[in-house]
Amino acid sequence: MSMLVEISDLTKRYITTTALSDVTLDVPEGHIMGLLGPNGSGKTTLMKILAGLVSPTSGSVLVDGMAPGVATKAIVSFLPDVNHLDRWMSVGEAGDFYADFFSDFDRKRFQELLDIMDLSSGQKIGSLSKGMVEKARLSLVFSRRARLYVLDEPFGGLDPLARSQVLDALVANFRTDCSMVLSTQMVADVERFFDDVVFLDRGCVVLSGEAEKLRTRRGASIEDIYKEVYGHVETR
Amino acid sequence: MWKLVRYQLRGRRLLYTIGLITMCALTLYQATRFIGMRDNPVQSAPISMGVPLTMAFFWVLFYAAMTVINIVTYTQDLYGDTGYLVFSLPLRGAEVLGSRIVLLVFDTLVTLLGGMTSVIVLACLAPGLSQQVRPYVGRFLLTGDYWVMCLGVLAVIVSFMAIMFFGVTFGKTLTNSKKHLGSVFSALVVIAVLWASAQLGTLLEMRLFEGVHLTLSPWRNLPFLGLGTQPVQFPLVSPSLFVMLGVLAFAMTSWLMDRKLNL
Repeated sequence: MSMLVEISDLTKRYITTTALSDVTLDVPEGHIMGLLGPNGSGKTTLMKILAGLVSPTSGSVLVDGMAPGVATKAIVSFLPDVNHLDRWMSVGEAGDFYADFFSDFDRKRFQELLDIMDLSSGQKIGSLSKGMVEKARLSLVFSRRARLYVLDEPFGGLDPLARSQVLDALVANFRTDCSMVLSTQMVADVERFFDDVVFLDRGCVVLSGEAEKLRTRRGASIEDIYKEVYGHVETR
Repeated sequence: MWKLVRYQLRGRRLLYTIGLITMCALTLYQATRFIGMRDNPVQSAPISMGVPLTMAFFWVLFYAAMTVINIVTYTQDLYGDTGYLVFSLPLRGAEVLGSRIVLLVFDTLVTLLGGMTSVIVLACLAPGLSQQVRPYVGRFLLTGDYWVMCLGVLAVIVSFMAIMFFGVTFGKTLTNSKKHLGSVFSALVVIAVLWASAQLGTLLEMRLFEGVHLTLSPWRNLPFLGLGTQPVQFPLVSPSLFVMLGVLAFAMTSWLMDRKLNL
């Protein structure tokens, strides 16, 4: 099985904190990896490194055999946990923007996703509700035929119905030649899609493996394992 | 890069529209006043060149506002959420930074051409002034020295902005998400670079390149300005050094964006 993402001994230090410490993990092609952990565990930093937005302090990161940079940005579809779209843009203009810069952007698929999400091209990003902006952002990210999807808390602003729509779209559009790294606090809703899970705590990998094997070995769902692993976090 | 310039221009279309409509309205208001004064001999006291030049001052204000917006939006890209859009594009740092410089040059050209048009139109309509100005307009527009001076000013402005962008990027790279600390650090970097440039420039002019100047006569075709037709000596060493520093700042900022980005 070929690895789309190979991370070894990755460390990221800021002035006063160490966000990631000696992280080693691989994401096989065709797999969906759940990146789990409490706030401040290093999930977002790891995703930003994969997206080429943060430079590592030490260690090695390879995406499709390349260090993060211009070439990997062309094949990584990144969804940050905040609204990254300019407020002056309409949904359609945001689509044009993506189409102009990403050769893998599929306009037909974008329109289909907009229809599913009940959005129209003319709506201004600045006038949309938080949930609608989230839908627009997800439509843009999933309209790319990327090799790697990096999604940071993609379901944060969505109601249960919209979440279900997005998950359906995610599954329907997922291809075997791509991979996905997904962080979420809504573990119960998404865990059935995970092929692999990585539990991070204070920048370190505390547990990782194939989701199904972990469930079998521990006799519990990923959500229960999450509670077990981070039980101490809630009270600290 | 040009696609990014296009989108950044689209993002600013409201600002440009408001700014340019305001400047055109001011020019038109003053122009109609001058036309009214010409038709009314009682009010047609001669107008000095100071009135059209006040319009040029408003254009400078417009330019200053656009330049501040340029720096603010760049800072927002580095410290705010929109940076995730710009910096996740498959573009090199030089292309992202280049798009900012192109915007700056665009703003400069719009201001220069808009300001010149306003001043010339008003000068050509002003009672008592139009007879003096009109014969010289064509010749002034073809004054090579004036355009060389404009080009030099543009090079210095672009270099200054490249140093500003470097300061902001360097501050962000070192301090990560601590915006206030980053801003203070950025300001210190810019001040240090400007101070070093001034000191080194003065030193070079005094020790190595004494008497090296560029002699231009930008106003020679505007005798009514009272600035004299004598050539003006412009310093050459300090601005050249400043431009070199600007180029260096551009290269270093691009490198930081490509290798040391910490959004």
